[in-house]
Amino acid sequence: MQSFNKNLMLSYSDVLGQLKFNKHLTGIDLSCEQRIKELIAESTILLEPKGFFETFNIVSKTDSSVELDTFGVIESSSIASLLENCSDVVMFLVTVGSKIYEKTKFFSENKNVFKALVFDAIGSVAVEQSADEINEIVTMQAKLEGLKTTRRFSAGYGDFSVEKYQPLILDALDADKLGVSLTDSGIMLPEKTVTALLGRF
Amino acid sequence: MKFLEALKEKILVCDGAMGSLLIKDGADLSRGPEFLNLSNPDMIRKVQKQYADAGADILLANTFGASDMKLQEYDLVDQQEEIVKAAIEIARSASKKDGFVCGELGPLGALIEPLGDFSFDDAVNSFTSLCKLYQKYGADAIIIETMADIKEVKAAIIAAKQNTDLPVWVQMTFDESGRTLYGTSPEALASVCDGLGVDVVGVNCGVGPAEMFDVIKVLCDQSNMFVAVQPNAGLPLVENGETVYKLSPEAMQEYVYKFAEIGVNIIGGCCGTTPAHIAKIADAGLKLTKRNIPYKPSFASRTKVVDFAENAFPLVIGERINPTARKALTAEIIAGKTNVIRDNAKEQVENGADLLDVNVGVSTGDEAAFMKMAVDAVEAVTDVPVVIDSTDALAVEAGLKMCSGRPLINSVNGKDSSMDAVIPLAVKYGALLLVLPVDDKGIPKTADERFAVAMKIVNKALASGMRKEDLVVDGLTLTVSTNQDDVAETLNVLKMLKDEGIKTVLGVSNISYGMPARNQITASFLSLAIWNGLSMAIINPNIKVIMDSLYSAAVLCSRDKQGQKYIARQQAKDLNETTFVKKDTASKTPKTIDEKMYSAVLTGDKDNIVELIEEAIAGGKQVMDISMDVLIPALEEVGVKFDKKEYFLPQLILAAETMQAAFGRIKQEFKDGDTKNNLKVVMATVEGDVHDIGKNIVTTVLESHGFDVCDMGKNVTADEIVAEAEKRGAAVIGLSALMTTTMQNMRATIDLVKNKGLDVKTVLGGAVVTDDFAKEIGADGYALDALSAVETIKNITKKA
Repeated sequence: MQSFNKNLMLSYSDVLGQLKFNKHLTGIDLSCEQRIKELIAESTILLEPKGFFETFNIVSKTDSSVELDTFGVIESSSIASLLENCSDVVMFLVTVGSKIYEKTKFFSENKNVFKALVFDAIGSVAVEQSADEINEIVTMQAKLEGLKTTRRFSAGYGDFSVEKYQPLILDALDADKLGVSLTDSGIMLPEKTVTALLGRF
Repeated sequence: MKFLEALKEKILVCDGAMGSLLIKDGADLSRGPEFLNLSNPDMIRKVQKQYADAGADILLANTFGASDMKLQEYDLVDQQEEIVKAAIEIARSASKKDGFVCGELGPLGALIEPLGDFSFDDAVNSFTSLCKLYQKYGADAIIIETMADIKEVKAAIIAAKQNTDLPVWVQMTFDESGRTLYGTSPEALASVCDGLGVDVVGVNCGVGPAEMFDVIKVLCDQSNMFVAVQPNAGLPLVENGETVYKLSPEAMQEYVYKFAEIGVNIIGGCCGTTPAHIAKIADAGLKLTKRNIPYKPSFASRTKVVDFAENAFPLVIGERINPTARKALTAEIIAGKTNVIRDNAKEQVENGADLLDVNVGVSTGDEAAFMKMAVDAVEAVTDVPVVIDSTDALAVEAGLKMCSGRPLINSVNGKDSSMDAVIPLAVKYGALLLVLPVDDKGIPKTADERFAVAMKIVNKALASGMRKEDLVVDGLTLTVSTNQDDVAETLNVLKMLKDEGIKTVLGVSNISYGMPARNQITASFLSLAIWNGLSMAIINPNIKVIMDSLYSAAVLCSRDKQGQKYIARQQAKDLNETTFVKKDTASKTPKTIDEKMYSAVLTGDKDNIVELIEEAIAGGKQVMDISMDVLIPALEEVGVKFDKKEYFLPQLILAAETMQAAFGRIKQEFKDGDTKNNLKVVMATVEGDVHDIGKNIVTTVLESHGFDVCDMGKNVTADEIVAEAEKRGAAVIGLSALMTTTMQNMRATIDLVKNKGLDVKTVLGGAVVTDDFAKEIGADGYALDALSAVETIKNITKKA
């Protein structure tokens, strides 16, 4: 298992983008911009991106299922078609930690909706950026081995069942060591946690 | 056993408050408490005996105000020696058999420059006469206590160290913010004391044990000095015009276990404590927790510490305050002015300088006076430690006396005259020392030769009592345009010194004199030097390419853990430089009060809207008019802008929060019943779902439009939602869900409303919810976003 543990730099434009800022139409004023920037600056000590990623060999596959070594069988034609030409699969789990989540929750519950909204967006940008960075690392490592990677695929896409496989993915990637857990209704906590897989061919 | 040896063995208990017990015994304090040593020694002895009997190992002689500065208030300066002699004898006679007696240095009652106009030298002199008496009459240690100004502490320590061989114990008073009255942090206190060779550092007075804990923890974690704590009996309270302390001896005992656990070595009491408190401390059965903290070299200003660890992020010494080839600065120094110095200081710190070099070497005038003036100016406008840069020992000492924290001396060289003059100054003032490996033979050419000269100076400094960690050696940068082959010698000597565990510094910019586009050469050389272990760079931090090079090289050389500083710098840059504010939007300044309120809603100025409404009400406006003519039209404009995407969600929310604040104020003017007709809405995130930001956004926007909203929070069951709606007589239930797994639970609420036959409309929203899904499960409405929720609710509740 490889680990991912680094600081992030969030770009102000990405955070605005997450908040659906339209560069052509939206006219932001200075005070709103400053409020958002202050929260971005504050968030740097709240974001603690951490993740694990691991390669699993493909043991066998059919049109509607793929069996991974030590993981088990995934019944999903979306996955089967994604991994059609692949020899193995990298699965990853990444979270930006509980501090930003707790802060967002605090503001949301205390009716400071503006701050909750912006921190929520910051968390989304941060986890997406972390997932992108892991994706890049996996692709770069594959390239060194002369391999390519498929696009990234998460439980919940297509017929890749989130109810059935999210618990297995979290288990396989030592989610408990990152403080990630699953609620009864299938929500990963802390929020702003992502799991995904990509095939290597 | 000697005092310091005893501290290695066990936690020592110190005595408690003296003044309050004397007052209780009816003492005559008309000539000050110290005069009692002569006029009524038995009274002092009685108090101290009580503390010794309670178990105090240490008694503080009754000399807190025995300085000449204090005694002169009672015309007792002539009797200082008798007073001190008696105080020590009394304490000795009251003490336990193996107990200790300490002489005290309390505040002089005059503020030292720059806080006041009392000179540093006068302060040292005042403390010196007392210190000599403590040595003469056999005190076991000197305690400097209840201090607020770190410079007064420094003066007292220097007096004690220069005139006695007694252990030195320092205590300052911190307030609840964790700083002293003049802003010193516990880290800065530890740095300064460690540098001056203090034996015990601690805290007394000001607050109780609970409020002191964090400061004491820092002292315990920061250094290997012994740590002492003497809290008041809780925070001071004023009752009937008198200050009282209420923490009981039993409660005090609870805290001392925590102090023992983190490694405190001396525990006593200050204001409000009694022999009963001290007995509880002595009876607590405390066990010494040994701390093994390696020495942490650091620089300090009055308020802030800069760590100077090996292999850490390279420190930046700003080089701009130097009159070489700077006519305006030269003229200003000679004229005794400091405007350029102040501006240079601020600019360099803004651009990332960790320390500021101060060089005032102009060809005429009194360099010592200039140095004093410049150090004062730099400390007044920045909070970074200073580097005192001069070849004139008098100027160096003047700078050291003016400096409030723990500085670096730049520099000592290998000439006997330099070593003999400068090394003792570094020791006396607890400064760190920059070593320039040149000697009578000039600049050594090869790395080996430079290393040899450097080691000669280092060894001399070590023999004088300095620590290796407090030395930094200059590798000597020569100019590449004239000495191209020497660059390698400079880089090599850095590596040699690093391998020897000695930190290094370079005047980096020297490399590029005479080259076009100098900064590129300087930046590349800096990278190479960092690769070879450079600890500090003397550079111009205002030049971006050089700072860029420093930050990048630190990442590449593993000197910046996880690229933390590099990333933080880029983040700050992005936030400073990126803006989407169009210039023309800020052009219209609202003038009338109506315009101001309108503009406040439009720009989401929730911090000022209430004040504006108060102003409008005071000006005779009716609240209904404010609401109907100003606030609601403003909110409508916000809605229009949001629809046209001229505003995005954060702006809509800020405007809505501004309206909430405005309505909150306006409602105070309403009579009961005025808001009875507002439409009632119950909002909830359904069972199983914990996402509530979206729902809260809708709630805020609905409230800003005057709806009476009950927000039930998240993970709410259908039964709870419907019961609440019935209870409140709500017209609408708004439901939110973010997950495909939880949106199914919306159906249960709608079914329950229908089964009960209630006249309540249901509206759905949330990321995964669609209009089709809403229709499928029988909801009355669906809202894509917060603003459309307003319209949807208005539509479905319209009476036919």
